[in-house]
Amino acid sequence: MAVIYRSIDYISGMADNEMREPTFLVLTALANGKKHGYALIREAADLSSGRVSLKVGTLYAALDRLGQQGLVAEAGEEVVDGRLRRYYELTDVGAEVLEREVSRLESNAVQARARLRLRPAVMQVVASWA
Amino acid sequence: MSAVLERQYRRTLRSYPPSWRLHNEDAIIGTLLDVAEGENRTRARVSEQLNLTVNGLLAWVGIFIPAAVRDGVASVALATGTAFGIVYFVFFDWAPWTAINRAAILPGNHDFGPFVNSGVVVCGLWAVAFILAVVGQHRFTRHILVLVILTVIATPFVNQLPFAGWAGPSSTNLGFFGLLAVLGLTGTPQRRIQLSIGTGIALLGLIAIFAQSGVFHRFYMGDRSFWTQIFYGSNLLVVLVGAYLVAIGFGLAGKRVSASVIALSTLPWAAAWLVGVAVTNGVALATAGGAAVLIAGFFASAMAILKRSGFEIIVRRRDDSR
Repeated sequence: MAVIYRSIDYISGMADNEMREPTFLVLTALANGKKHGYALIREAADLSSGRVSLKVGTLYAALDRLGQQGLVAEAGEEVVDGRLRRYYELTDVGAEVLEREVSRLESNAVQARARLRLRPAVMQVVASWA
Repeated sequence: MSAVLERQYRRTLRSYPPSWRLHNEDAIIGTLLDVAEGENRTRARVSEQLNLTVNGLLAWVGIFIPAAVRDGVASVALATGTAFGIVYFVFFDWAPWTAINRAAILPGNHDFGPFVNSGVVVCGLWAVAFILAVVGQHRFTRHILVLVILTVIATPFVNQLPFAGWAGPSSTNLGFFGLLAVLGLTGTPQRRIQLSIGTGIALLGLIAIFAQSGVFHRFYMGDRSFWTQIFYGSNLLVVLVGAYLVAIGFGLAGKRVSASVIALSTLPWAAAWLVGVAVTNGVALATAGGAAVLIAGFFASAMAILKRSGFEIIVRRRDDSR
């Protein structure tokens, strides 16, 4: 119950609560299915074209935090070559939060593109005044 | 070779709380070994170990102080540090209206270029940290805050060098900046608009306090004057008690996060107040400090005895306590 309240708080606070890029990348990486820690690190690097290189300590801190917020959940474990792999998955609340963030970014991108399209016209007017 | 690497990682993970290790150690070790294998490494990177150590210490903090509280405290610390940095720079570091009289008031002191002392470096770093936080570059904000702490530690030593001899920054001001930086590192300011507004309010408040205190006087007052003439013992105590009452009020209203943020954000101010008391009434403070050390020693001994007797002491935050 506490997780649900926290998640509702989180979503209602999203209007002025911007998501950090590593968080966005982790949630995005989990959007198409459950993944373990190493897969998340590689996906975050791929999604950001190598720009974001998540350190393991940072990833687990983020997963702890996202777990407390009810955005991700543990989704089983398996042992591969003697190493424990714990899987994580996006919760429904996490998917909703990611959806909102994507809409916000899309809206910003549309605005930016529209203004950039106006730029040559503005520059021509300024040049004609000079 | 993997066994050696695994031992190295397990050693580093000792910085995490036992309860965290109990649940996560094997999973994180698996990921660390996967990453090392992917990079064809047989040794842990220093940056990797540093990252694990810092996150381990933060996990300890996380047990006692929830993330939402830490984020709030970090925001307040960033706003306060930035606002205090600006007023410090204007009134104590630059203070152009006092330039004519400064040489007579501070005989034997050198200027730091056009400024009174090297505090401009700390103030500049705070300004950079604030800008980075506002544009969302939280990782770089942390780096700059670490630089603030290092500068705060190094400044008294540099000030002893023959070419230095600047008037300040005083140890109270340096400590204040340093503690704010430590608090700024405990979390991430999540709401940048509120951070900007909070910094503006803090700045206006400090300017108002400075202006009505007559610091625009043509005589340079020295950077200790903020703590000796404006926020001195009883004045600061009233502010602190007021803040604690507000925190209690929030707590009673069920707003535990706000209450905790207010209470924890007073730490640098409380430390400055303690320093003030120590300067004016050292005996009383030494007695209180001695009693605190004795009590802490008693609890530490009790914990050690329990541990040696085979008890396991695990501190864990309830899942619904956030």
